[in-house]
Amino acid sequence: MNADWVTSTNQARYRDCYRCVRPCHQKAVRVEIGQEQVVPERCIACGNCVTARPQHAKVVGDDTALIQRALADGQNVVATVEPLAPAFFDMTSFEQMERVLRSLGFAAAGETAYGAQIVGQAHKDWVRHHAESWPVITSSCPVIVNLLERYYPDLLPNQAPIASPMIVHGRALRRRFGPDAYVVFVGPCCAKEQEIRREAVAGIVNAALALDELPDWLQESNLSFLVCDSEPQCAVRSNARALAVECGLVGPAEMDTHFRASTGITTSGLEACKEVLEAIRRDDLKAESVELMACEGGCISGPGMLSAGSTYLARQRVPEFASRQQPQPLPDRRPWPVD
Amino acid sequence: MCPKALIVLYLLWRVSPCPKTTIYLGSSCSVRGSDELAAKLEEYIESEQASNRVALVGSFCMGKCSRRVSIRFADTQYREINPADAETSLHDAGLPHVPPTEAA
Repeated sequence: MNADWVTSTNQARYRDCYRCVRPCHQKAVRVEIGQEQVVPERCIACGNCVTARPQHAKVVGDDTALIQRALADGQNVVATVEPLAPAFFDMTSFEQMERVLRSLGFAAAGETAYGAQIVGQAHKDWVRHHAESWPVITSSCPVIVNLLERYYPDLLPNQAPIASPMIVHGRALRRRFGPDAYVVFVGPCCAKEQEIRREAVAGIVNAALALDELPDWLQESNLSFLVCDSEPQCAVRSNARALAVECGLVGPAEMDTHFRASTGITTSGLEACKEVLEAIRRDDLKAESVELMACEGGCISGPGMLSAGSTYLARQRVPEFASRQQPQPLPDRRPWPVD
Repeated sequence: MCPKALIVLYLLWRVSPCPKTTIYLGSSCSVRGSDELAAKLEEYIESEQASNRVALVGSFCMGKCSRRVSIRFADTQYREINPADAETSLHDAGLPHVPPTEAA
């Protein structure tokens, strides 16, 4: 197994079942001497092989131990939390998450939605100023980024050169907490594990914590979410918090996705995304922007969301959380430089 | 429009390094303070330790003269820049702060 790549096989739980060979869209799992192996050159880190294994024989690299070591070393650990946490926890205010992470020893926790807000606006500006690269392909889903690099390199000029919300928020946290901060991403995505090590953005986010690891960690430390009854002080509602649902980027980017407008296409699910990419390749698809997300319905059905119950529950709870006012304000469009 | 805010945002969202920031140093822009702006930005980029990610260059007049200074930042033309504009605190809003140690 390639140690640099995102998944590894748990030998003790491994049964010769070929279960992770079939769901791999990219045919990136090969069997050699009765042993399944991921071929990094073909793998786009979608996590299908992880989802397909009921015994959890394929596991996503888990950084919990690394993070705990950083905490024990007394490092300044700050978290960027994907707004999918409400699918796991009874969470109405982000303050609950902040408190619980602080009791685990984190110095601070912020919402990845901060990055989403900037990324959305950056996409909006980019699409407007770069008609020559229409249809602009959004760059927030790391699996889609991998897919383009490995299978559609001819479409790379269409991809917006915009970092993901995680990276943007990570950079912002570094500005605030200094270069020595240990930034942890908390989210449901397999590919983030690999994205944080990409050459262009390496060193901004130090570790990725799968959202479904957090409940276990809390249980071990005898901590739980407390109901938050205090009203947030400077509350701001933002649709950037619904980033992880299909069409999520469209909100902060203020794109028009009405079916009659046809300037913005949004789709999710690997097969549907590939269809869109094929259409762009054939020069059939005329749109200004396409938002692609590899997981069906958006990150809410990501590989780290398995233990959260049904996707539809997440589909309900995440936008509900996003519709609430939250204590941490997000950067607002008005002070943005517009030409 | 605040050129510093522009650079901060750019440094936050852009993947690839080294966009070219062109400041027009033609007579019209120069009279309106483009030299001063260039010096300020140079200093600012230095303080952000971002000189490997943003390259500042000067250019002759490109005929985009307006009431204020023009710059070209990473493929996009921005006009009407007031060199005296203060830095905005936009990027600090929304970032978590470390509260004084609280009793759990």
